[in-house]
Amino acid sequence: MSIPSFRLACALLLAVCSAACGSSKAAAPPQVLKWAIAFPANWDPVVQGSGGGFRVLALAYASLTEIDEHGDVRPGLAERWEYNASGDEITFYLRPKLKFSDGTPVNAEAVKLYLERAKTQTNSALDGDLSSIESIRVADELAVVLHLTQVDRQIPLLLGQRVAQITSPTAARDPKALNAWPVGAGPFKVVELVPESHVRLQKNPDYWDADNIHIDEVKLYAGTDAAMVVASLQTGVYDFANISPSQVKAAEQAGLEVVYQPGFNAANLAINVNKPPFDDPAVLEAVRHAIDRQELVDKVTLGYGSVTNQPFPKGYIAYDEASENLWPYDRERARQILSKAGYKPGDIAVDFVLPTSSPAAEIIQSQLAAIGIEAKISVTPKWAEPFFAKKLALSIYGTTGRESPVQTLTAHFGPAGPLNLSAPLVSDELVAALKLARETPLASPDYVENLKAATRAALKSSPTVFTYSLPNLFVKGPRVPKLPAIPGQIHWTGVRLGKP
Amino acid sequence: MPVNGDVLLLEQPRTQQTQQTQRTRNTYAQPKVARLRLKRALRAVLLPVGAFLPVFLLGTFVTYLMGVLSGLSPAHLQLGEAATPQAVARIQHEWGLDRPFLVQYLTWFGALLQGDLGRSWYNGHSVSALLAARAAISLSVAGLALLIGVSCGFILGVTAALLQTSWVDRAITAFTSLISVMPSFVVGIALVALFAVTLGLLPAAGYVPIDEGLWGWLSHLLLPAVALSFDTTSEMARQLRVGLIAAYRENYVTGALLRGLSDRRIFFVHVLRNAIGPALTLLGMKFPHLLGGAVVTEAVFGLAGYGKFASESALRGDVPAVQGVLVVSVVMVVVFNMLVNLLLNRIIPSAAGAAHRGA
Repeated sequence: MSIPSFRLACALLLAVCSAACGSSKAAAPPQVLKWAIAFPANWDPVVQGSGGGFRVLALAYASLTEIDEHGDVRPGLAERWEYNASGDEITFYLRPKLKFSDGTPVNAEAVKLYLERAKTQTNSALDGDLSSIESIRVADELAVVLHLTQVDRQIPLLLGQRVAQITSPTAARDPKALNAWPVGAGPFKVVELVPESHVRLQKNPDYWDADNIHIDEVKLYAGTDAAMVVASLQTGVYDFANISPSQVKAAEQAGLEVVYQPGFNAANLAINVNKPPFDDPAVLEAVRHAIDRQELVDKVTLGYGSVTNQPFPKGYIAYDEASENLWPYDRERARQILSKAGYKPGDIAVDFVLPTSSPAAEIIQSQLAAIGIEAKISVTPKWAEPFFAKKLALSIYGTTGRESPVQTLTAHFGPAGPLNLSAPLVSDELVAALKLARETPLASPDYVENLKAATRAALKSSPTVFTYSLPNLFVKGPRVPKLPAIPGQIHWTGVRLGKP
Repeated sequence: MPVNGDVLLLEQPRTQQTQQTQRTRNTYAQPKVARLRLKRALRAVLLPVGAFLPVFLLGTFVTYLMGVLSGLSPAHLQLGEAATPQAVARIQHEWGLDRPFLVQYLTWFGALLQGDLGRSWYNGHSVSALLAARAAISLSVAGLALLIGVSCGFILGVTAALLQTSWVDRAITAFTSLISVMPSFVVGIALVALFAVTLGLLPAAGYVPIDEGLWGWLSHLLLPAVALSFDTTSEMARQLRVGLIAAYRENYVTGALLRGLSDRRIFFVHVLRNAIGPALTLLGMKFPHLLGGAVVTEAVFGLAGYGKFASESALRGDVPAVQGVLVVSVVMVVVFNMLVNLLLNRIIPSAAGAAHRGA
C-alpha cells in the first residue's frame, strides 16, 4: 500500500474507533445490585405468609399501601382511600394506567380477585389476617369497596406489604405456576429464577414509582453461609446481605457498613396454659419471674438487641411503658412461689419442643433449671404441626410483626390467634380493648392511648413471655448508599448505586 | 499380577499372544474366532450391567422405605400456621400418602424409570428439574476438582515412587498426609482468607455460568475445586506410590532391564499399567463422592450444588427431594464403578487375562 493510502486507512480507523468509543461512553453501564438472601419457598404472597420472605417478594410485587419511616400509612398502588360514616366500609382508589409485568391492567377487578383468592384459596396463609373483610365490590374501574365484618379502622395499614402484595389475576389462574414464578406490578420483574440458587430481576418501567428506581438489575443469591458473608462482601461478590450478630465486629473491621434496620421483631417463650405443668397458675407465675431477658440480649444478640416484654420493641407505637415491669426478673421470688405451691426442685419436667436448635432456648432451659424446672429440649422438623395445632406445652417463636399493630396483638393474643399457644384463652377485657383500638381512626388523638391499653390488657391475659427484640441486621458493600429506614422493610426507592 | 515368577520373558498383553497363537493354529476356523471375540465382548459389558441391576433395585427400594419410615409428611412444610388436623389429612391425600406402601412404591418406581423423581414437598418443583438445574454447578466443581486431584496426585505419586526414600519422597508423603486430614471447611476458609481477601486474586464465593465468560466461570470455581481436590490428590498420590514401588519389585522389571529396555519404556508400558489398578478403583469411588459430598465446601463458597440440596432437603424433612438425590447417587456410584471396571480390564492385561481364564 502506498504511504498516502496508508495514512488514509489509519485516519479512517481512528475515526471509526473514536466513534465507537464515544458511543459506548454515552451509554452508562447498567446498575446491578447483588443481594445474598434466603429465598422464600413460595413466590405467591397468598401462600408465602411467613417472616422475612415478603422482603424478597416486594421486589416483584407492589402492595396497596406503603408505610413511611414512622410506620404511618402512605399510598402505594392505591393513591387514596375513604371510610364510610360508620367505619364498616372502605373504598380504595387506585392509581390510573398501571399494569402488571404480564400486561394485565392493575384495576379494581384485579384487587378484588386477589383479596378473594387470599381469603378462599385452600393453601392461603393470609386468610386469618383478612377476617375483617366480609366481601369486596368493584364500584368503578379504579375504585374497589371493601365491606367489613366489624368497624375496623386498621384496614389501610393492614393492606401493606405483609398482606396485600397484589398478584396478576391472569397469572393467578394457574396458582402453581404463579407460586414458582412471581408476576406482579412491583419495581422489578423476574427474568430468571432457579429455585434455591439465584434469581435475576430487571427494572419494571410500568411500576407506579419507576421514576425513583435507579437500579437496572437485581441479582439474588441464595444459600450464602453466615460465616462467609463478610469475606464475600469484601471481595465484591455481593453488595448486600443479612448478617448475624456474631459477624458484626468482623464486618466493621473489614471496613463494611452494618445497617441496623428498625423492625417490629420480637422473640418469645410460648406457654400453653391448657397443658401441664402450666395449668397450675403458680408454675406460670414462677416462670414469668425466672426469665432473665438481659442475659438473652447479651448472649444471643451480643448486645445489638434490646429487652422487651411485649410483642414489639420499645419505642413502637403500641409499646406500653406502664407494662414494662409487669413481671420483673427475680429468681428468688420464683423459687419461693414454687416451694409455697408445694413443688421441690426437680419435680416439674416439661417438653421444650423447637423447630431448629437455638441458643436462646438453651439459655432459657438453664434459667428454668435454676428454679428447679427441668425443660427437655427436642428439635424436630415436624414442629409446625403440633405448634399451630396448640398441642405443645412449651416452645419458642419469633415474629417480624405486622404493619397493623392491632393485627399483631390479635395474632399473638386473640382467641383464634395462630401465635397464641394458649388459645382459646382470652379475657373479656382484652376483647373489649382490641375492639376499641380497632375502631379508633388512625388520625384520632386517642389512637395511641387505645393501642397501649389493648397491649396492657393483652399482656395481663396472656401467658406468652416476650423476651427480646433484635433489629434487622444487614451489611452493605461500598457501592450501596444509605437505605430508606422504613421499619421491617427494605426499599430500593431513590437508591443510586456507586461505581463497581 | 503375573503369576509365573520363574518365566523371565516379558509379560506381553495376553490378547496379542492369544490371537497370534489362534491365527497360527486355527487358520481354518475364522468364524469361531469371531464368535469367541463377540462372547468375550458381551461378557465384559453384560457382567457389570448384570451386577448393576440388583444393586439399583435394592438401593431404590431401601431409599423409598426410609422415606416412608421417617413418618414425615408435606403438611408440616406447607401448612405452617394453618396446620389443623383436617388440613393435614387433606394434604396427605393430595400427595397420595394415604395409599398402601407397595402401591406408593410401585407408582414412584414407575415414574422413576421415566425420569420423573417426584415433586419437592418444600416448593412443589419437579425434583428432576431441580437436580438438573444444579448439575452445571456440581459437575463443573467436581470435574475441575477431579482434574486437579488426578493430575497433582499423579505427579506427586510418581515423583515419590521414582525418588523413593529420598527427602523428596518423605516431603511428599508428609504433605499428602497433612492435606488428607484437613477438614474441608478449614481448607475453604483458609483459601478464601489468603487468595480472596488478602491477595484479592479470586472471588470469595458465588458461581458465574460459563456463557458469561470463561475467566468468570473459572475464577469462581478454582478455590472450591482446589479445596475439594485435596482428598483426591492425597489418596491418588499414596495409592500410586505404593503400587509403583510394588510393581518395580517384580521379576519382569528385572527381566526388562536385563534385556536392555529403556527406563521410560519400562515405566510407561509395563510398570504403570500394573500399578495403576488401586488408584483407578479409588477414582471410581471419588467422583460421585465429590459430586454429592461437597456439602461444607458448597456452603463455604455459596454454591448451589447437589450436596447443599441434599443436606437442606434432609434438614427440612423434604422426603421426595432426598429420595431423588439418593437415587441419583446410587446410579452414579454403580455406573462409575462399572466404567472403572471396564477401564481396568482394558488397561491391566493380567486382570483381563484373569477374567478370560475365568479366574
